[in-house]
Amino acid sequence: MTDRAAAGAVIELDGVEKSYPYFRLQDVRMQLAPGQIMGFIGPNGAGKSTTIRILMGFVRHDRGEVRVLGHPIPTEQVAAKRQVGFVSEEMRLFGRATLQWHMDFVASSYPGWDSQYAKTLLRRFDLRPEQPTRRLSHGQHMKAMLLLALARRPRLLVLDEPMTGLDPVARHETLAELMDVLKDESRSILFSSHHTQDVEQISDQITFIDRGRIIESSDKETFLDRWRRLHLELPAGGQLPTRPGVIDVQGSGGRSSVVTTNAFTPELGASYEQAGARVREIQPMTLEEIFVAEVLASRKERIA
Amino acid sequence: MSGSMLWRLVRKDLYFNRGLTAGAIVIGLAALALMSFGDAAGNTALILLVTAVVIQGVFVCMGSIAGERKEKALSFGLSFPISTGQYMAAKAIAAITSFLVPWFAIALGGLIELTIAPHAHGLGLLPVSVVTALFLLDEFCLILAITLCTDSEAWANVTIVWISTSIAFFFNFILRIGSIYANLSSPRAVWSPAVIAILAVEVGVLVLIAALVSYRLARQRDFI
Repeated sequence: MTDRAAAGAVIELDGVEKSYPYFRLQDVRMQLAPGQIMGFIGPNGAGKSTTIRILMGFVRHDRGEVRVLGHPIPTEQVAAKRQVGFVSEEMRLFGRATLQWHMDFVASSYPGWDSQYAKTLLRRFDLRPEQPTRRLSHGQHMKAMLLLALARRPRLLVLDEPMTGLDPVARHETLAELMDVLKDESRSILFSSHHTQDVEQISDQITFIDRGRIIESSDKETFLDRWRRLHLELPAGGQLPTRPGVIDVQGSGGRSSVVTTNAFTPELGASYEQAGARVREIQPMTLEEIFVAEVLASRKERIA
Repeated sequence: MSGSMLWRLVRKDLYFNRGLTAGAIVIGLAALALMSFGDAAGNTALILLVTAVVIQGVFVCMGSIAGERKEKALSFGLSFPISTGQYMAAKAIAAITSFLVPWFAIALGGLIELTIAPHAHGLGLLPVSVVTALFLLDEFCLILAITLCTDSEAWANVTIVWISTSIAFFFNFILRIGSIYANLSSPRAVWSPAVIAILAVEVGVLVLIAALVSYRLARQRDFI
């Protein structure tokens, strides 16, 4: 495990593997530092939920090392889970009780429960404590679970697709609450989603996963700075020179080309111009575009 | 803290199962009271009593264990500071307690019925009653084991069908044993070798189920 003591990472996965009959998580390595939000992005079935289940001790990995808040998982999952708030799109509260019952139950289980904050969240999320949880809509259910996780004031929030099914207002409210959590610099969030917009808004770190493998992990600014799309015009019969970091070239061989790179520097455009091309436009890319390009490039590389 | 968390989760399930537990006690004791109104009422009461115990046991397991998994509340439960093994232990303890409370209440009521009630028949029925009570406990432990160890609805349904049909076979079997049938009206309890053998098999089944469940859960790697 790399620089464990120095980094004091809240989440550390090192060479984690898990095999199912039709899916395999392979050599997963990632770290989340205190006070950071990591956006964990991948298409459906990429391995996000499996990774999170391993982190929570629900599923045992076949190989590798997992630590949450310094505790090895699954052996010390009890100690780790005392300080982890977990919400999943696939999770539901106990159907035979009200939200108030859940609040009382969670409050009795965690000494750090903040009743005042819970009341504030009740109002902010427009939830009624006397309502039986089985009568809650999907959006209300997600908000209720977020309330129960947030009001415990955990050191680490693990959120598996928490925005799924929320309306735009609820998404905004939830993101605002998550940002609030980060005011305390010792708290961290792992936030999985296949919706890049939410992740882009709040994350410091981005990790892409596809088909059971981590394909890229870096801080958000580095991602956004490195990736560009260059629109080039070529002279008749002109050929684009090969440059490192070029992920995709569209329209190669024609008069105009679109080059996607993950290693952009101002010198890249200049090098194309030296080769006879004219740089018409250099476009920054959204996280969604970067994600799609990363996934497609990774799949192409694996096939090759 | 995880020990207290285990008991908190047990109390939670007992709270959720309280309606079923109370219902089984009320129906069971009502059935025992009905037995004093002659043979015809007694037969109806026996069916009612057995049905109440069996249905309560099945509902407890299907509701608090299989239902929790089906309704996706298992991951919420597992997210509390408790190990997966302790969580399963809490489910088992709560389900067994929810079943044993009416089971003991009815057994006690039955003992009173057989011994000190004004219309007491004598203790001749006691061995059959004990054999039947243990058989129902075996059946409960079977459905409990299935719901704890598998998330297969098909297996649960097969077990429920087995439970509902095996009761008739069970009564048919024990009442065909001469040494048992001959002593039903006896004023004292006769613990014949046949009764002892059946009790031994029933206890053996309980031990076997407990051992298999412990072995299976100890080896289980994935809980969701």
